[in-house]
Amino acid sequence: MSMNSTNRTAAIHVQEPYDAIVVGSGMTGGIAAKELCERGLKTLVLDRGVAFEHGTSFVTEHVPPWDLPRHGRVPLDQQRDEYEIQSKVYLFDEATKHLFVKDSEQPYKQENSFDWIRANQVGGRSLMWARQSYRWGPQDFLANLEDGHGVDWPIRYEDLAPWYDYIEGYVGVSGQAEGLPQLPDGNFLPPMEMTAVEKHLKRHIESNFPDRRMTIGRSAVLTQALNGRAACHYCGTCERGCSTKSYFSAVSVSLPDAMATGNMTLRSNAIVHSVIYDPETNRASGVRFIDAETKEMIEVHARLVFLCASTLGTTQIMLNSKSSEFPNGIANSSGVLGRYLMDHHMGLIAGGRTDEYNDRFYNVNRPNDIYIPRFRNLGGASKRTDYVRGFAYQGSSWRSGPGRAASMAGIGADFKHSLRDPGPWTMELWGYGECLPKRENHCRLSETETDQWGIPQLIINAAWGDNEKAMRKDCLECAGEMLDVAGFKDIYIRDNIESNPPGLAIHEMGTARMGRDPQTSVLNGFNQAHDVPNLFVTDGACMTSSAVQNPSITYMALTARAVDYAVRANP
Amino acid sequence: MLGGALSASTLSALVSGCSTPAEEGFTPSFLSSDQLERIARMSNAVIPDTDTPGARVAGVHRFIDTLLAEYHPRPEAETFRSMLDEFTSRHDIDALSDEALVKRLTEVDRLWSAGQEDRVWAGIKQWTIAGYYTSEVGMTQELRMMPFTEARMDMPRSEIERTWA
Repeated sequence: MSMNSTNRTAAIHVQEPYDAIVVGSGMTGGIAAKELCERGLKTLVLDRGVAFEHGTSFVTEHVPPWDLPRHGRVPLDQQRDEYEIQSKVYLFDEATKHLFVKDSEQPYKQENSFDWIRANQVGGRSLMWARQSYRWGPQDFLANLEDGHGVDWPIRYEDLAPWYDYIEGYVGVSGQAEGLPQLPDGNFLPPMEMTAVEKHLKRHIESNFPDRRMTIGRSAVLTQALNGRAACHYCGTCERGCSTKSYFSAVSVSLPDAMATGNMTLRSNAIVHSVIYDPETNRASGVRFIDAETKEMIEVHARLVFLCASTLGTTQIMLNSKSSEFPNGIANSSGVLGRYLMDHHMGLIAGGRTDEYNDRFYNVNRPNDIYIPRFRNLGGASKRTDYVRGFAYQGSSWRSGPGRAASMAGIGADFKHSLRDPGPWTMELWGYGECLPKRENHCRLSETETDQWGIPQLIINAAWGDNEKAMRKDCLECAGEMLDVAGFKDIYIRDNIESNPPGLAIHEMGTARMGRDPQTSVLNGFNQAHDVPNLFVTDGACMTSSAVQNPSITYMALTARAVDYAVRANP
Repeated sequence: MLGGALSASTLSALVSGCSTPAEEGFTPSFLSSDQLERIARMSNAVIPDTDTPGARVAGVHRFIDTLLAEYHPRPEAETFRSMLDEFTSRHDIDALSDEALVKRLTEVDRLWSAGQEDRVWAGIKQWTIAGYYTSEVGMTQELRMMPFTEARMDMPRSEIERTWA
């Protein structure tokens, strides 16, 4: 198949070559850009989103609810017609909706329900991420080898550990060292504090279950100043942007650092169509992109190409990069490109209430949760016979606010004044589970439908399997017993699997996996395409298994490591 | 003098002594000015003026008009409008003095809290709470906004005057 069949424009503009091209400017693209630029490479960063800058683009930062026309609500018709998928995200509201794509303008096909959550601007989802930052443990890089699901990782924890050190030092992660082998400690800023009720739960969990630990979330939010960035002021709405740079985002941290080198050219509204393959040299010679505003098709060339366009964005570009040598997508001699799509499964909720600690309270919206690290299938007595891998919990406690009045009896002055006191405490745990890499969970290109730029739409087909479902049962039971042993009342446990299809955890990964064998994987241990040596993929697409930890810090560590390799090896 | 010739708002003004039922300088987007005034009276019965202003001063009725005009799909909003008119007429809201209105709504709330379905009352009460405690009055005069400050996640309740909106 020739590229010409998918080019809509007759004239292709060719730009001057760069040393490196980075596609995507979010969590991993920002790090790739910074690392490449700091090593002196003239780097072009392309992002399909609109231009977005630290400070000036944070138009809703600190805007109080009464200054939002509907006090935060997005019209229901608009949610349904324009943001059918994006509106399912917990932080989608009147102050953030401009940060998400309109599903109506950027459609994709779902053969099973898959919520593809996408950002609308330079910096990508790094602006709206939940900032939880956990290292993978040694067991996570061995999991596929040991239980036979998926292929073996080409790297081990020790390969990545120094890069975790490096990235944590740059990003700024607050947290508590715990000495747990399955959740290695890192280069932490001082931890945030737990509430009285969280401390209570922690005491009871740890005294009743020797294998379980509860710790404060490890969060990419500064608890003390770092590299000219201020400590958090606890306004509570990080996702609107942070003018003090107190949480890590590409917009506020990595892209400005890349720009400061003088080596970065950043182009927004650049819809990358495909990677250009040169059969003479067996290299990626550059990329083609469409200017979203002029619709012009542009070619640009470079020595190195880094794809950091998000898991599915990257794979869509690779699948669309067809040549006679790679008729099914660039670097896809293995045929696994698009396959082994994963996400963490969630929608596992357990909670309870307590009448104790009514004399305790808190003074801010902590941009962080508590965390109960994985404790199943870690050897010895933790071994399960009903499923492999494991789960972890995030969680939080709070005293209800005046909103509780909507379901309370009463009106009038006494009713009003009773709401001046905080309500009772609730403690909730939210389970997140590992997802096995399965061949049938995949994405591919539509043969009939294209988007507004003439690029084939992505078809996504993924579903939770029996292993995930068995794990969910145990996860909820364990959560219930921990709340029970701590004396919580009115305990509820809910499995919301139906409203949490793959995708909604926004930890989608896989589809261009790393591996040792070029016949069963797309990338080697340095995120380098087995088939095309100057093509690197360092976003979530590269992942060989999902573990259970929130993945961004791992993606960033892999990215920094891959850039270091690429610049040294100069493939 | 009695009968259909007398508009509801005129009647309301006569009975309750309220001479400016509609708001000066504010034109509702969805509700009629009579309907807006009824919502304002009812929401102010839920959250009245005390040592801090109540729902009317906080603009809760305007917020509810905005929700009906912009947030809810038009068919839903129209359904609410008809139910509101039926509710108003069934409870003879316009004829009630403010004091009598509070008495009547206390009974309506008691039945609703006991489990009797009442979509109009549920809407008015929930929107009043949502609107008041996200208004400037509700968040800064009645309650407090969380400060931007160092975090203390486990502190004595007594050190905080009123809870956070």
